Amino acid sequence: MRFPFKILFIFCLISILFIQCKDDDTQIFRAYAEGKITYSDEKFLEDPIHLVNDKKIIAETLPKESGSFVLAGPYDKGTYKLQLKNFKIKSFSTATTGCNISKDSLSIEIPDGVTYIIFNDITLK
Amino acid sequence: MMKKLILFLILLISISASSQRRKQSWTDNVRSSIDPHVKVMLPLGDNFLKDSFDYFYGFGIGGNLNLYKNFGLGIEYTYFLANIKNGDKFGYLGAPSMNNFDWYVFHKDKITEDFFLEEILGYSTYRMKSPYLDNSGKFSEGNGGLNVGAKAIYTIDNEGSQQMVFGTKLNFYNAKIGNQNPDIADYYSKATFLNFSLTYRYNF
Repeated sequence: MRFPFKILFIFCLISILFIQCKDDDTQIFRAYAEGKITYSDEKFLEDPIHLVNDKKIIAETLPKESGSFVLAGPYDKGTYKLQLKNFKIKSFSTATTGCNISKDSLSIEIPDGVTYIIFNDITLK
Repeated sequence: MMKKLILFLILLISISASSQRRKQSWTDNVRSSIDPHVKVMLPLGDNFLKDSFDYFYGFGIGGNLNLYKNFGLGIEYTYFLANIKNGDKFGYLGAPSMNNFDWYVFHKDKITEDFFLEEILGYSTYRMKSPYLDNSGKFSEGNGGLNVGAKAIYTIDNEGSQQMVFGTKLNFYNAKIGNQNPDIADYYSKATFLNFSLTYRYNF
C-alpha cells in the first residue's frame, strides 16, 4: 500500500512546482497588421511581405491577388516596420498616427506600442 | 487526579486506535494505474490555433489513483507536435512542440464486469514552444485552463490488471498574448481543443 502514496507524494510535489512557475510570463504581444496594396506589376505578388522588429523578421505573408494582406508575429517592444522586398512605397493611409515611410521607401515604420494597425491603402511607385 | 489521567489515556488510545483502523480500511481500497497514451487534439472555434494548425498529435504517460470509493486523482503528461497549415498570423516561426499536463479528479462507473466509464474534471497547463526561423531561440506561449471529459475502459485480461482506454476531452487553452485590439488579444489567448486519447492501462 505504500507505493500509491509515493505516487501521490510525487503528484503533489509536481503540482507545487507547476503552480510556482506558472506566472513567469512577462507581457508578450502579437503585432498584427492588415491592409491592401495597390500594385500594377504582377511580379509584386511573388515577394513576401514582412514585419521586422530590430532587424529580426517576426511575421511573413504573401499578398493575395486583390493586393490585400494580413500578417502577425510575436513582439515585445520597440518600433517595427512593414517591409516589402523589391517594390517601393509611394504613399499609404492609416488611422494610426506616427507612421513614416523609410528612407529606402521599402518599408513603413510603425511606432513603439502599436500592436494593431490597418492600412486602408498602400500605393506603390 | 490519577483517575482523570487514566481516563484521558484510555480516551487517547481509543481515538488513535480507531483512527488507525479507519486509515487501514481506507488505504485498502486505494488502487493505482500507470497509463501510457497517444493523443490527438483538434483546435475548435475562431483562434490562431485553428487557423494555423489542423491538429496536434502527441504521446505521453499518465497515472491514476483511485482514492476513495469511485473517486480518484489523475495526471497526464503529453508531448505534442503540430504542422503549420498557415503561418501568416502565427508569426515567422517553425512548427511548434508543446508540453501539456492534465491534472484531474475522476469518478468511475462500473457498467459491466469488464467495462467502465470515468468522468473527468481538471486543470491543464500548456507550454507551446516554436523556433524563430532565424535560429534566434524559441518563442514560448500558453498558460492553463480547465479540462472536462470522459473515458471508456475495457478490461483485456482475466485478472483485470490490463485495460484499454478510449478517452475524449475538451481542453480549454488560455494564454497571455497582448494586443491593442481586444478581439485580436482573445484570438491569440483563448482556444478550445477537442482531445482524443488511446491508452494502455496497467493497474497495480
